[in-house]
Amino acid sequence: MQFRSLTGAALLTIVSALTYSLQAQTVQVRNDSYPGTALEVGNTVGVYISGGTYNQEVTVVANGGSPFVYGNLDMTGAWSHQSLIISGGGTSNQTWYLDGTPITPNNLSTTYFPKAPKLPGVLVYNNYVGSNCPGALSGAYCGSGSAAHWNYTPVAYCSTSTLLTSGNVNSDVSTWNSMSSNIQMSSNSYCPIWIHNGSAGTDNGITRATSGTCTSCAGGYKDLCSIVSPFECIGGSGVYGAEIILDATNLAGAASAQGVSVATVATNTVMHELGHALRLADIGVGDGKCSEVQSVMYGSLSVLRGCGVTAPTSCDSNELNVIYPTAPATCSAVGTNYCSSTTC
Amino acid sequence: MYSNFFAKAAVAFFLGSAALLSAQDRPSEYTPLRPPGALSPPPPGKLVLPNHPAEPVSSLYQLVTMSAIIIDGTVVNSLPPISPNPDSPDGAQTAAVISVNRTVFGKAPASGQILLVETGGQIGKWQVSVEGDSLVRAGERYIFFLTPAGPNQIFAANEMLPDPTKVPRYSPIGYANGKALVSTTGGAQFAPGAISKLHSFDSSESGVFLEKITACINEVYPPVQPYPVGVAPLSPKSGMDFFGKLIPFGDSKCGK
Repeated sequence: MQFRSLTGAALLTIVSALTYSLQAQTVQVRNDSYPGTALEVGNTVGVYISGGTYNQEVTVVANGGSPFVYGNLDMTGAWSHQSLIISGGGTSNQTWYLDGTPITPNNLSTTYFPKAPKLPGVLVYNNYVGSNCPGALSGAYCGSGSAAHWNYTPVAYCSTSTLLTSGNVNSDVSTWNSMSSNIQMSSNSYCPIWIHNGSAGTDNGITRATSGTCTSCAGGYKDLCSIVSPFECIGGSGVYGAEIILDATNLAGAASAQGVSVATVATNTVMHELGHALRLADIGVGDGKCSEVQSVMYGSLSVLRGCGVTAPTSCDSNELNVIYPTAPATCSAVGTNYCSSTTC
Repeated sequence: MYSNFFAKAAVAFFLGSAALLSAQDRPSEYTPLRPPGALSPPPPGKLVLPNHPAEPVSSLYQLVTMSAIIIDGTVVNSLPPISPNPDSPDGAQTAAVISVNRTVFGKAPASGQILLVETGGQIGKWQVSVEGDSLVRAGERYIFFLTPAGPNQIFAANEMLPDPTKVPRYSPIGYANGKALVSTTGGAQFAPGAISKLHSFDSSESGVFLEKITACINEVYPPVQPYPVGVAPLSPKSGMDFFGKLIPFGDSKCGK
């Protein structure tokens, strides 16, 4: 029998070929330290090849150099390799081959992971140096002109969003409340901070705050805590309402791409948006590497999640204490006449 | 109780993650936030949404990476804005037919036209726009960086619009970042809401800008090289050998 003369390796080759011949041969470069984020010095990069046949030779040519032979595919027609990034600041144009045939890159979605490494041009960054903390959205506490802050504490919040549970929201609020004792949020059905579903354009969530100058009650605060109208005049230059709008469609897409529940990404989004409600500004997105991400106010969900920054940090706490150097007047209970206390 | 509030609210305005209404656009009255469970239509007038996409653009390189197609196109006409809820400006979108003058990257449809779907437009008593951005107008020429209009686009059931199988629907990437207006004198100009790295291309002659974009595309998508025949393969000495010698970012044509 001719089969008897086949070596074990040859049999494996046949089996592997039969099993995997219908699969596309693909290669992916990943940041294994912080998935979905840009590569930088100190990260572990992984290369993953699949869909080949046993024993095919893996080679790579980078930036037009000589081919490196990296090994052979295993019995499942796959191969992987990990390496520590020790230098950055440039691009590596890589073509990977199986037995001399180029392999098709299988990059992560550029819609949901725009900063993740991609073949053929893999960007490798140096580390971000310095602090990258948020500023305030505008103005200054007790300053004149543009509204910048809440003039009282605690600020009531509530959620009618169907995308996350009240427990999720309460957890986010509790985390923010632990960041600064000067500004607090508390649950109440009459809520200046209102979280609900809506359209956020191309964003997962937006915050729109409301402020006003109430000339007719200048010099004081009036019935802010009154149950009849929690949004009454607060005088001066305070914020008196903030809507956090969560986009169900966009969040569903993000959740699917991330492989997590909608509630999870909605909770992450609310954490970020509550920072806006408290008047913290966004941090612009740069290279999308984790050394840039020092605050939950960084402006990319995929990078925040990839870097594991899903809660406010000392960066955020410090800025909150800049915006609210002391606690504003206390709004102790619904129905209390707020005019009895002024601060600025 | 709200009327009492109105009397006291001499000046009120929206702020978002960035300002939603500029000073000159402030309405004289503001309807306070509704109790839970109710809609929250803002006051009549101009409503400026924050330029705040979920995954922002940070460079031309990123813009090209995120683009499904890049075209030089002229606005044929704008269609009436649509909102999912006529009693609310939330989700307002406006579509415009774009004639493709030149495809810079990707595959343009055989019809030679696309439908551009943008956020904003006049919905009832609200004039909705995105901070630092403006809707395209008939006759204007742009270089567009486009992504397929997402699941949020609300025109799917509108039979008045062109057949999407012939005139596919796209949106600019990152609002103002996804389109550069070509002036009548030929210069390209991003809207104020675009990131500063893109403004470095402002006033470039459009042909020069298109050459830069093409160079950037070649950088993002270098041609696949056949296996180098006759070159002796090497065994890697370190785990990172497969990166080769990095090409410094300073040599980039499109800013990394």
